Amino acid sequence: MTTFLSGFSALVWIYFVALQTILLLLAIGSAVALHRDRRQATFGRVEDMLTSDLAPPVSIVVPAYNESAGILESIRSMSMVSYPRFEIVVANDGSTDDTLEKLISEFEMHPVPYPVRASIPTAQVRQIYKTRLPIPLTVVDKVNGGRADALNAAINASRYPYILATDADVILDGSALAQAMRLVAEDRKRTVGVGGNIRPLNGCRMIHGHVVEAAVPESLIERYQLLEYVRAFVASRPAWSAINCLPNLSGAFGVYSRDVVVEVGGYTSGHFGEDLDMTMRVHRYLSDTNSDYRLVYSPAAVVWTEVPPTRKILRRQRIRWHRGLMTAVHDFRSSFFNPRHGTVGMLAWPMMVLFEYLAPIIEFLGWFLIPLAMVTGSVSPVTVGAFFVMALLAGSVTSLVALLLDERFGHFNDPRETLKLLTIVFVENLGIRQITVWWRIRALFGGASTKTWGDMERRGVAQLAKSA
Amino acid sequence: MNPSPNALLAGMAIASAGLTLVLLVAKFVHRQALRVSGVRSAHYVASIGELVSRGILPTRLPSGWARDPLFHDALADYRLLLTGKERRFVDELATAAGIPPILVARTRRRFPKSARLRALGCLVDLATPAQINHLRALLADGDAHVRIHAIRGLARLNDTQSIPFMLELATRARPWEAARLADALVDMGSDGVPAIQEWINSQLQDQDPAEEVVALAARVLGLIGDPTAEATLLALLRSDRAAWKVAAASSLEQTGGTESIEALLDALDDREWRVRARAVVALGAMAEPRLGRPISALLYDPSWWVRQNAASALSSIPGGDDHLLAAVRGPDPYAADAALNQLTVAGVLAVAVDRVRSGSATARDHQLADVASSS
Repeated sequence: MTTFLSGFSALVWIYFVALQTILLLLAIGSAVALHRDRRQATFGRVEDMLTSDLAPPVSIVVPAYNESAGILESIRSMSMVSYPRFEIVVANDGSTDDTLEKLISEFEMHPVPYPVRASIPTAQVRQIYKTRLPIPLTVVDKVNGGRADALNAAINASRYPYILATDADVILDGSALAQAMRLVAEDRKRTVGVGGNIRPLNGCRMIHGHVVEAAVPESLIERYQLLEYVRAFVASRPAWSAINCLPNLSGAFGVYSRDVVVEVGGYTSGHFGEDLDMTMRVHRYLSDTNSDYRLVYSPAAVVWTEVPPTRKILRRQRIRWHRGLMTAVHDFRSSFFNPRHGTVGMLAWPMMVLFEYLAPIIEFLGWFLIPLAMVTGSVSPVTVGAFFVMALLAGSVTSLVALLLDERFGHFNDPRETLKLLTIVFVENLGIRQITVWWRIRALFGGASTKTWGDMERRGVAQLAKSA
Repeated sequence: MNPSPNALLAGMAIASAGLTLVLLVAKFVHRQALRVSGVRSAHYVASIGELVSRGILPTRLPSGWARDPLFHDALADYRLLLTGKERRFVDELATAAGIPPILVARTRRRFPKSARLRALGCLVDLATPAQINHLRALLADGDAHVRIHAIRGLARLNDTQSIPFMLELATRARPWEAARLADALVDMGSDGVPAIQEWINSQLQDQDPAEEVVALAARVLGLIGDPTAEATLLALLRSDRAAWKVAAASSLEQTGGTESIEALLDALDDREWRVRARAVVALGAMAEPRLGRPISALLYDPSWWVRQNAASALSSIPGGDDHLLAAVRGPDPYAADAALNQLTVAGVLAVAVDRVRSGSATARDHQLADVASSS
């Protein structure tokens, strides 16, 4: 028993050191990538894209299920995106609220017998609507089939060679699409996907569908998520993108070549992590066919999204995400340390499995076994205490580095905002993170209640942000 | 778990405290820098506005202004906002202050890349003909962004002599750079058409032509919309390369005259569907009633895109709706599908239904309303 406990304690120590080293390397890589991207974004004259007749056209595909609270604001912001050629295709996924009615009335939609190429099989499409207003909007009304199914229906009705898969509760920054498509235009033959920089909308100041001032939200739950997003999108993804092994283009903003999405069979219906599944399937398909391709990340393509404002909603989201990861780990087990799948197979996916999927199990076991090891005398109380303090400090170092990198975007310069950020940096490891670990454990071993999507209970972007 | 934790702990604590301090300082510096640069920019904008409104060139600018990148940015922004006499005044102000040579000096290779690109961004808008040779030399720079800026500057100065070099550059460029180059050529307008035509004609004689760049140049001719380009575009449409035919058909939509119609009608029989799809759109743009019959034949094309484009083209031709109505009532379900979609999207069915309801319908409106009700 003592040997087992000592061994486990050593394993936790090795795991901790490996994780911190990887996070540090990712942060260094991200710093270099962000510097390079900043130069390109600033001097690459992305505004040239806005007036060019040669800009690749994009279909913005938006699944909507019971999005009545925020759909209008969101579609308005999408229709104001600065890009020469785009269309918006909203798939109303059998909403039981008045999402469709609101769209029809606000945007003067009328039914059309529009022929849809069923490139990807979906649940039955009831009707296609076009708008009489001068905005390129199409609404596909369909029988409920889940987010992935709605995305597929919207892709079927889209016309352009690139799709931007996004959510009905996001606010696109004015230049987000142009910034993402700049990366496509730079290397059109190889670029099959571009991910965007997702930021929490909660607490930000909005005017006429645009975020004009970012702010740190008031509640700790929202602030914790802000920190998570900064760590993921500023201190991690740029580095993965630089070595072409992004494991996931976020569901809130993912540009893909339409042909590639159709070739891999579209989004997987019923999947809890359909964005992760799609990214990995694109990697696998293109690696298996020996294609020369790249999936990249654009830090300048900023998208604002509603993050769960309460613990209850956050719990559902995290359980759903971890179940999605669990399914993906099973589905892509062949990619694990598979040299045929390049850097994704050898680096990104193993990291995802070891440090995302298994992390809650190791940490959860540690809660019980390390105190037990202390009680049985396998490790000294001083060492355990030192390890605990070190874990707290290491967590804060990672977050502080991420916030320093985030200075590139120039947000949160008000002293009060800075103080709020510093508070969450040091407080998150004293309870909030542990709660999320417990939720992820529930996702792995939970019963039927963890296997449904549940309602997001959106407040709507207009309510979440401070509209001026 | 048996390391000596004290040193590690101390290191972590120091790192954490140090990073917190660095973050606080960075936030403070950022805030101050934004404030200072904001005040300076606002001051420049106000001063330039004052000078422009009075229309009097100052004998000399306050010390340091001419070398300040923020002043250059403000001048370049002003120039983009203004037109006519006021824009010329900004050019004169920049020249009198000696700004273009300062910008040229900052584009030299010894400067950091970001400084070079920032200076070039302003030089594009503030350059005078005296800087043409410098901009031409930058076409050979190793950095694609520098080359793109140089191309934009040359286009603004209407330097048609550099067009052959630009097109040669496009043959080696990545798509992004080639597209920006094409945009710059479009900005040159009709002045650039003879040089582009000459280059395309030389490629037509070439055994191993730059196929993609020729297609791009053909698109440029279409976007400029100069009718003198028609002969060159027709030569491309009659070539044996699909990419050239597609580009030429697209461009003839904007520039084509009577002579183009016959060539485009021939292209409707091309074996490549992309050529047929583009040719039918170009013919639709000609809006000649006699084209209704040949275009309606393409409602029965095997390609979905050709059928959609044919239906859309018929909508822009006088009498085209009759062909669409005939197709809806015809035996071919694919043609009927394309025609019905077009009649709906164009609002023809909705108008007919409204007229029937209001009692002002013609016989054709009744036929269309029947179609609407049966669909």
